[in-house]
Amino acid sequence: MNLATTEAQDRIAALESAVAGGEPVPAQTILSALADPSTLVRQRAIALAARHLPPEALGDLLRDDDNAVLRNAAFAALERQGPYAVPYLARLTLDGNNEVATFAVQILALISDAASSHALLPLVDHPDRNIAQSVIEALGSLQVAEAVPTLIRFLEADLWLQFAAVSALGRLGDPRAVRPLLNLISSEMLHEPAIEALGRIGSSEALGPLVKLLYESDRIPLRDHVLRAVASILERNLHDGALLTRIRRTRRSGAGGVVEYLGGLLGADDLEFARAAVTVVVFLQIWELLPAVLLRSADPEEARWLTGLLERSRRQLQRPFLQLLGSSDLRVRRGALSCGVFDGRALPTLLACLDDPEADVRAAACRAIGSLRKPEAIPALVRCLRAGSGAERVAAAHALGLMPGAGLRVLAPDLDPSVDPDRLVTALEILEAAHSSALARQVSALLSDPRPAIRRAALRVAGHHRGQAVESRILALLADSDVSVRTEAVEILVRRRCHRAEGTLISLLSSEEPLRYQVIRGLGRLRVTAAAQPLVQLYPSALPHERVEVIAALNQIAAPGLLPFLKDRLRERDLETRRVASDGLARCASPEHVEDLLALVHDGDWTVRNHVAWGLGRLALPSLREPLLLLARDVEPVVARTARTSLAKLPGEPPGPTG
Amino acid sequence: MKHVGDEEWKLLSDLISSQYGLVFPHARRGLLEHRLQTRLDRLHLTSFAEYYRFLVCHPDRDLELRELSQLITNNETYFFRETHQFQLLTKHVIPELEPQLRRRPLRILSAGCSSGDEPYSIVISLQEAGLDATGPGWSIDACDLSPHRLKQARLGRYEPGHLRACSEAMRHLYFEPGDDAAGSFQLRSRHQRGVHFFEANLVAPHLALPGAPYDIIFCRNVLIYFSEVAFDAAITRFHGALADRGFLFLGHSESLIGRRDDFRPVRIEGSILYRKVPSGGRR
Repeated sequence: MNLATTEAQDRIAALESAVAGGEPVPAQTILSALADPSTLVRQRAIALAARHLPPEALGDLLRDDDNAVLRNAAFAALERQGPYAVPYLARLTLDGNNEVATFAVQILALISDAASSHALLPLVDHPDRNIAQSVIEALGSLQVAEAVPTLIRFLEADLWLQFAAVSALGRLGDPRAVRPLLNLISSEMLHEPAIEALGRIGSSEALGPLVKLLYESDRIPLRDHVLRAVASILERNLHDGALLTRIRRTRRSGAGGVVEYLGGLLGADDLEFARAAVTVVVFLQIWELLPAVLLRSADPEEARWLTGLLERSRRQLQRPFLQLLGSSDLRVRRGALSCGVFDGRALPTLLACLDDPEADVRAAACRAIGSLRKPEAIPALVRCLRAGSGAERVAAAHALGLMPGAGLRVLAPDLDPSVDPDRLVTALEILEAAHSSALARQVSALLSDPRPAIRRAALRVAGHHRGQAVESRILALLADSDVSVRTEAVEILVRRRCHRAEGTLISLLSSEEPLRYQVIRGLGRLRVTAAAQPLVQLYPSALPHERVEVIAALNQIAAPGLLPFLKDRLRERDLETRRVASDGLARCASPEHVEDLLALVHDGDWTVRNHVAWGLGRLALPSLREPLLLLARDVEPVVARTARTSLAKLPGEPPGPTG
Repeated sequence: MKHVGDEEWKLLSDLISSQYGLVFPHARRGLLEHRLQTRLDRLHLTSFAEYYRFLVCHPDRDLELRELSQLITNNETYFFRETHQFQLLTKHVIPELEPQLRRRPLRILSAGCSSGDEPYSIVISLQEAGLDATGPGWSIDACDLSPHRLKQARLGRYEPGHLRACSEAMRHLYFEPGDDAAGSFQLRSRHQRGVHFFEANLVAPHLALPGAPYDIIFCRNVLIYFSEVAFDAAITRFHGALADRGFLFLGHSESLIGRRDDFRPVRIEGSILYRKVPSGGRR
């Protein structure tokens, strides 16, 4: 057994219990726990210290040279205090103890509160190099644009500060820094951070020199840095066709073994480098490596990423991809079809792929054809739908669902009630996906089919048909004999925003489960004001899961007079009930009800506190700064983030966190 | 596609952690969003907050939690993944257990077996080592959270990607063409012998492991997705289910070194496996 973990959990429980005992907060207990040997205990103590201790108490621990664990914990707790600690930390940057001042600067950088920049800028020329270096880094983290000229000046300083300035300029992403940074790529000491910074800035101005370096350098660590920078810059400049053409001209085929280098990365496990290599291969058009790029598409996640990347360079890629459809390797053919981006001119070649000997390739061809949305491809896809393998049928159905709805009349035979039910449902799913109004009469007839699965599928298609007549048919299905059809009808009417259905839906609040659950939610989604009172009346007799949805629906409707109902719900014991009620309170409380929100600032549930933090930001009253500062150092980081965003909405506040 | 907000993310990831011991780092948030989208559509839900409420309040929550379990677990598995571990099994572990195996079958647990690639790889390795010819054979318990994947495991039919670590010769020896047109491979029935599949949540409070005590437990690339507490709970459970001095195989990025005193790391041919320290015998 892992005794250390068990004992640590016991100590966490004791710590929580001591803090839950109320005021005064057991400061000494928390401070002791900050030096606990277990990381688990220290993490909890840091959260509690941030919430309950003043920054001054934590700042004192930064002076403790002898206990690095305690000092690190205090550092982390001050960071978690966020804007609450900023004024104190700003003062601490002027501390006589240079080490403490350095820590203060570093914590301000991590908090990323824009208000810190005024305290930091004057310190950039501090005689202590550690402080100056931390300030330079902080200016980068805080994205202080006015610091750029100063930071460029530091590129001429001693090496210690040069490193910091290079990194800060990269974080700032300001194009004014590109030329000075390019001057450093020949520096033996600074070329790696300079290249990384240029990649982060992403300016096209750096692309030519870096591509040249990629081709000419055969030193692996350097080349890796250059590759990542080039990929990053390429991704941000794909719209600039003239630039890409110019860069490709500078490419010298095979120089410096770059093809071997990139090829090795394409087959490697390191995702970051592999993706950078893919970007470079595709956009510098190193076509001999395209098959290796496509082999990566066997992994679905990689295929998704690759498709997104290729989508951005549609025109240049069609020809090489079409050529790869003749590859003898089925993985390459399948990859080209799955990830390639084609236009209408490719249709004949793609249709020919439907005769490929491999079923996987034929299925991929169906999908590629579907993405063209060309009605002339419909007959070929229907043939695959009716006669293909399982994978082909699925792909053909997907492709047909992308076609213009009017072209799908060809599916008429599939809607005959006598055909196999799977075939019938598939045809209906295609019409639904295409939002097709074709074959409306047959679809309407299927709404009376004796099989519930067919009626449900037909309902989903009819949901896209226009007109009062079809709406009346759907409304009639609210009285269907099968509950799954009735449930589907509720969903379709809500999606259609059918206000004719409101009265019927309200009357269905007296229906039995599971329909009522959908009706309650539907009334909320439609924001039916007339449903507010019936929902309130239903609440006491509703089932537990319905009750929560009743509150959620009332929150959406936001009818006048909701507040007393919500306050009653907040007095209930059920956690989910209180959570949804606090959400409603945060959404509808007006300034005169701010006390109701403030009463929940210390609530034991983090979700309730999170809603309060959001609601206080919505009201944006200057008087709410103190409670929001309290919530901004909440033990739960989600609450702290919400509170910080809300703080930034208060009048006279600096803009929100910059990190 | 709908996006999950910070609050919804925490509610869902806390629920998943408490139910299954799995942690979802922030970097995988997009993946979870994508996977859960189909469930929201199916249930006619319009937000992840509604989905969370469904999972905790709705009468059908148990069914939905099973659906969820299939969406959140990693499908990454293939035959002979980390091949050297199967070599360690037959070259070093089995010979050490040999005296006992003259009297009774070898007992193995494959925990988090997914679609069966691991337990079947064990069977093939044992057959290749001649164990079926020389002794009373083996009994392999293979469990997973996902009933869908267990169904596939029982069928023994695999897409080509599951055979990525198999040579052409291995494909012919151990598999035959599937009876569908999609190019799948059917594991030959003789390599499915002695494997018993069952559904199990490794962090459930009450979990019956029918074949315990086991000589060997394989749990590879499963615990990396567990929270620290769930990781420890699972290892404690394995300790209880192993015979004294039994062996535990973990994935290459999962380690007990410096973390547990009830397992002793054993380094063989550059790989590490863990050996149970019997209760009372701890250092």
